[in-house]
Amino acid sequence: MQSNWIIAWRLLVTRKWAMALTLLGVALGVALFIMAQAETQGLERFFVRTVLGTNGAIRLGDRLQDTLHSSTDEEGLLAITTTREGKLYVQGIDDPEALRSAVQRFSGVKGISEVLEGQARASSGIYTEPVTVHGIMWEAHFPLSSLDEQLVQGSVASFKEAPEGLLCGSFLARRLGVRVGDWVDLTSNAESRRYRVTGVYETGVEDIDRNRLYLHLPEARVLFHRPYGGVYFQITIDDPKAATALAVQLEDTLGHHALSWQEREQVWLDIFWLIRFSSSVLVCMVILLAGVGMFNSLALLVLEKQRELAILRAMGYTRKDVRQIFALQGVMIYVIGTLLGWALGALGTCALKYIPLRLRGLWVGEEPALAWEVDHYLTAALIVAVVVFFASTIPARRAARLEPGQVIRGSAL
Amino acid sequence: MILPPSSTGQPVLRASGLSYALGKARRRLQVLRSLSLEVYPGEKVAIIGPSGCGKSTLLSILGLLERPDAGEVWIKGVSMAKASEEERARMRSDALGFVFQFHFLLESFTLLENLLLAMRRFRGVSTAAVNERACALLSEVGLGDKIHRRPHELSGGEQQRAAVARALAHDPQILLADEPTGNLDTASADRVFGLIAYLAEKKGQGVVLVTHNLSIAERCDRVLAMQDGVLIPHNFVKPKKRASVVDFPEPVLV
Repeated sequence: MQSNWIIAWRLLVTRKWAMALTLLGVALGVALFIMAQAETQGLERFFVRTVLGTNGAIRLGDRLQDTLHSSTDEEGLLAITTTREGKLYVQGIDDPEALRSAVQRFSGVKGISEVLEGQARASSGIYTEPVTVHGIMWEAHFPLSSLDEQLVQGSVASFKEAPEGLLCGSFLARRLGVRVGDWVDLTSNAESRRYRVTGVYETGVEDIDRNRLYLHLPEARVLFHRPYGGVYFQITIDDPKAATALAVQLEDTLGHHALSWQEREQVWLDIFWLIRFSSSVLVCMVILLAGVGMFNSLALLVLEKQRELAILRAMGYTRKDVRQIFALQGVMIYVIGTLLGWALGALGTCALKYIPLRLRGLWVGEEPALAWEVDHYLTAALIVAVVVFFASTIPARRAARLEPGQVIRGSAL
Repeated sequence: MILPPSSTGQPVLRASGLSYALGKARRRLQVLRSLSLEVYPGEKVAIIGPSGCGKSTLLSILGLLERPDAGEVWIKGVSMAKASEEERARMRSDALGFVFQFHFLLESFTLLENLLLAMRRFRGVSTAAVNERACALLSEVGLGDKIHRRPHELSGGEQQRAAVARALAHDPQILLADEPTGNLDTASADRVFGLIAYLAEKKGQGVVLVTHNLSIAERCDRVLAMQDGVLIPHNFVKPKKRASVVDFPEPVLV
């Protein structure tokens, strides 16, 4: 076995350039796979983390109206059933306290924040922008959201202390040309009021940063003339993956429309899946091409080294030994290529940090969110293993099938 | 069956009723026809015959590189007819040594490594001892100072001497040599054959030598000519002026 390793290695290095190119192909394939996964999955995770931190896992809102159906069975008994078909609903939550205590009884619910949402126009005196106002109770909202971590200007304390305080998205602040301490006029359909910017936050998700403002809930009620009701619950749960199932449960039990974050962000999640899938396919093609190159190199090696293989057989090496020699060459290419690819992938992922990424409408930041996952490295290694296995098996079989007597006789004539 | 004039003991190599054909159907060419042969320890048997008459094929079959269509080969008294691929390979690595017209040394390895690769049967023996044996053998063939050279760094004669050393490295009981001097000048050919004869005699190995060189064949214990797929004993009619390599003469039946 030891001599088989040595023979495999020596035969491999006789075709230096071909093998170097094969190794490079495998290493590049592995590295690109790791980088693509780090980038796309990093972006997806960042997005999910942000939307969970900003919008919560479940949004519990409008009360659904049941429709009553009556029917009589064969024995003439009257049966009344309720269904929630159609689109009948009452906007928002009209009895928050009662619903809050009901929601809190569900297992897995971590916290509930009451939010009043409305559309308005924000004006800094020079610029005017359409905005979505979120009225929040900071005592309930801050512990459940990442808002305090997302502040890039101002502080949570100044917002808490100022009833007329306002938190503004960084993109929107730039559009309005305002900073902490500046005043902004908010105009709804019902009212126009003046607020002071006490903080500027940045989630990184442009959709949020460009049009969302946070006010204290009582102020929002005044602005939108909604003295009671009309709110929705932003619910945070222990296991965000279980949001869809819990949302169904909440809706069925409480009769309020419940929307999980997966349903809410379905379009983006689909896009992320598509990006990851297409980039994986593309990178797998690179690995496959490297596999084809490897197959060619090994097949040529079998043709070139027929005589040597025949001599080995004459010296007592079995078909199994010959097959093993070529399989070992595959193992060598696999191990060296994968290790090289891992190193290149890690270096490349580090380098990605320095490439600013801007996806209009989705992500804006100086440093892309990258996912460092062992799984990416293992998956790349697995894909290469499959490709290398097939690329080395066929030449190995062909080499083992050689008839040494015929080869030697043919050479000797 | 061709037997030596004074055969004693067990033959180290025995072939009986070997038949072998090349090609298929109409193009089928019968190369061996119920051929039989025995080789005894320490005996050198030369096989002569025109090109393409089946000498190399016979050597391939005797060396267990090919299976005959009919007949049987015994190595050290063991029949190889029903032996598996593994058993035949083990027998090759234990009991058979090959030397070919071309040296067929592995180009990617040094002379020492070429010998070590052929010495698989010494597994379990210390590496130092195996190395020592390989070096001693290379010294014996006059290549002691070139053990770390690659084959392409040697002359033709040196390459062939290295090939002889490799064939004998694992101490086989039978040496099969297919025109080992066919590619060499007269002096080198004499030296290589001298080596084969000396080492085989020293170790009591049976040698089957295929050659076109009658002066070399003459120095063997027996000379057999291959004709129409069978071996027949050959007696030399000494020509008035003998060249070292001559055209194959018609064999004279005894």
